[in-house]
Amino acid sequence: MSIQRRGKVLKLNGVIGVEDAEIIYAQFEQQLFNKIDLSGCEHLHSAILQLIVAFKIPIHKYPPASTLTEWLRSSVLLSQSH
Amino acid sequence: MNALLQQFINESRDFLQSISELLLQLEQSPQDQQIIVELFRSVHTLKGNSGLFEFTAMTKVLHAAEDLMDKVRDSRLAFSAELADQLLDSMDFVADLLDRVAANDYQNDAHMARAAQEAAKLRQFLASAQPSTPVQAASNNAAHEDIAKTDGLADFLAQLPTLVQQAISQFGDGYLLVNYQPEAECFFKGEDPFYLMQQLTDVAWSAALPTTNLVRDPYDCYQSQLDYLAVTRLSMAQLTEHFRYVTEQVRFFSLCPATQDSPISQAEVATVHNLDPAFVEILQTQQLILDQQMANNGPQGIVVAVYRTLSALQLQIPRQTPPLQPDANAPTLLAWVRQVLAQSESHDAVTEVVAADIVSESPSDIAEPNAEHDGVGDARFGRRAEDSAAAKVLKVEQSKIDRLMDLIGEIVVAKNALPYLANKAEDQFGNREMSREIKAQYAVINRIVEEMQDAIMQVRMMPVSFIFQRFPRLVRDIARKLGKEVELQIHGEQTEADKSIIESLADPLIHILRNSLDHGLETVEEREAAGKSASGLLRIRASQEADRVVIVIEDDGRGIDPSIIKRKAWEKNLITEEQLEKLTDQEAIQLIFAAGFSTAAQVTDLSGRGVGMDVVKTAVLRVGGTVQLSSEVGKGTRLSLSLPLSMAVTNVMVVGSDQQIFGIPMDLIVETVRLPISAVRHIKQQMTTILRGRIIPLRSLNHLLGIEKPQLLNDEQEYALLVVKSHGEVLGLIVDDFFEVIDIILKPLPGELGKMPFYAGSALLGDGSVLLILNPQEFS
Repeated sequence: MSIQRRGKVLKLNGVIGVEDAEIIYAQFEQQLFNKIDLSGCEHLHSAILQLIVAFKIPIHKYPPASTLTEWLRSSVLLSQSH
Repeated sequence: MNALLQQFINESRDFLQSISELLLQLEQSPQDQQIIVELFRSVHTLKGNSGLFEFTAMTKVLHAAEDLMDKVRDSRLAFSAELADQLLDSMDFVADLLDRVAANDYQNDAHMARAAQEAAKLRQFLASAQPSTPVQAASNNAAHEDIAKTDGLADFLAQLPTLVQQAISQFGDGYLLVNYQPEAECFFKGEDPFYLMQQLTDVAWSAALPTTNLVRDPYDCYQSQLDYLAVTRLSMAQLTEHFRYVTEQVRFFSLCPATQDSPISQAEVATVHNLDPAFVEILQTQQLILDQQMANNGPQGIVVAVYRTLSALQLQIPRQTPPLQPDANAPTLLAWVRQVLAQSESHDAVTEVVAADIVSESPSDIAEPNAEHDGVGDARFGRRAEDSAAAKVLKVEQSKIDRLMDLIGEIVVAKNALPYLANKAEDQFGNREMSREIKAQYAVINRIVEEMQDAIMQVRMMPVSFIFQRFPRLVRDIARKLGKEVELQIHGEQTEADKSIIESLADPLIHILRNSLDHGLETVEEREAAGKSASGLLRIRASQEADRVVIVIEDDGRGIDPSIIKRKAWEKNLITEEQLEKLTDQEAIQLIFAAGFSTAAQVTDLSGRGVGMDVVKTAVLRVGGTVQLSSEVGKGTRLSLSLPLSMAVTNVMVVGSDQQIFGIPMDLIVETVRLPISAVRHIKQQMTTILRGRIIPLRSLNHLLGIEKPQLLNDEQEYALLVVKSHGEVLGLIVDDFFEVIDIILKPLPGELGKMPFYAGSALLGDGSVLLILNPQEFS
């Protein structure tokens, strides 16, 4: 399963495609989770990144891939300064 | 070849066919907006489909065609015959590629150059399109428009948040700032801007920013709302290559401190922007062709072909280049190509590759002596879409098949007249010889007709995978929305049944799956608490049993609790208090099929509003199927649908009453018995009997039909009793006599007669008489 929820943490594994955006958004809206764990994540589709940036979803653990982490860190930093 | 690819090829051929038809229609009435929209949609879908496979050459051409149609649709470009010609040519090229794909002979790289050429020709028309009107521009997001107005880095930076400005200001000479603003609809084109940005190398700093500070309400997951920024050491040419599919959405700024205020000179940008490596490749190809033509003094047709190619490319090349002269000869053309190439930065990188490509092709191939040669490779690509190799699969309208089936049905009935005729020849005319010959002929015709019937049934058969294939996605989406984990197992997708049966099953099955997911399976927490595995199991199994298709849907969820069902049914006045006491558990769970029954405490958008299960049952009964439900609390639920393979031929038993004959569907007949008159008991006004220890209510067919005559008894004073199933109950029907069992084509009664539920329909018999088929569901 690429999306798992344990308690209030949503864990995203592997490659998360655009079709998962609506699902993640639905769960976020219902407050089923309040932070995300990306430690097993290889790639996020733009639509997922957009969710994280737009709703300032706290990242519990960053992904291992450095490029992805760089992007996330700087984007999250900017979104929080808004 | 995999099924998806096969489907893509078939569909694409259809699309190409309809595109060329639409283009031709549009030439007749260029103002017809409906055709334009339809055309755009076809090209768009075709492009999207091609993107599923690695057919970049095809996608490239279709992308250009789509952009072109987009402009035409927005009335920014007038539709013209030239435009139609070019589109048709491009579609021929796509059709040719498709043929190659079908023949397993497709090599993407070999067609890229030609694809670029086609795309360039299409984009040539785009150049003459009017820019979008101010109203349209305003509807784009504001930030986008602001940037469009400015060219300078300083202006661009000024509108970015301070943090971003600070971050960027650390970088200086040798760095380029990339700003990618994907269009809002880009996800629908299969684009992933974030992925594209991450693929950039030599990145010193990067971030994604929301295009606006406000989250749009309602938030749409499928609209791109981010701007991407990156500072990189890559060269302009590398960046142009990287963003070649989205050039119009990307801006580059040089971070060189000395010239920070002015962006890269317009000319330089233009060169880099326009000299796509694919162009360079084409130019180099032309250069080599010219070299060879001059060296071997080859045919003049080649020069003409090169001229046409170059003039098509000309508009895409920076304005500084001198225009091509129409009467140019080989040396002047060569000089022109060299001049253009000299301006290109990415020249050297691809020279060797192209040279290798050309050398590997035999020179005679290139210098093919052909006086009317009007374009490189035109002999291969110039075919119209209509000429494409005949497809192996024939698509036929269903109505035609239905008509054929009706006719075959009639011949089945007509051939049944032959035995009557044989009997008549013998009995009436005393010609036994003739009778025998008719019977021999009948045997031959009978065999052929049965094969025909079998063949037409095969045509209408389709595998259940037709509806099963959408389940994995459906189950996955629903499970995610509910936050449940489900493993879906599908078995026997290849089981076949008649098309109408398969189609009528789609909706009921979706209802069932939704119910299982919503009410049946528990959440991970509940499952773990119950000592089950975290992920639930949903199994769908299709199989053929004799002349029926059986579909079983099982889950290992919480099962259906009969006591809850009984209580709910009683609360909703679906059962009386007496029934509440009497119902067995097995009978109780069947109540979920009752209309207006829903046990879900909370009505969700997933399982509807409790209309699900009775709709399921009705739909299955309508096609002559049955539903069986069994469930064990805490262990799971199992639903079994049994459906006929085909609805075309019905097996009926002919019975007689008051010198008329009627048919009763065999699948509803339990048994036929001779019942002594003494065994009939009267309880109040009702006739009953005890058969094998069970009380069976009796009905007289004459009485049901309103005929004022008692049923006939045979010589032993026995009734002819037909035991039939009616609404899950067993019922005895007294008739005058039983006759044979025959296959008939059941035709619904027309018009007002169709509203009489007592009759299921009518059928024509071999002797030309009409047989009315009764519907035992209405007997009670």
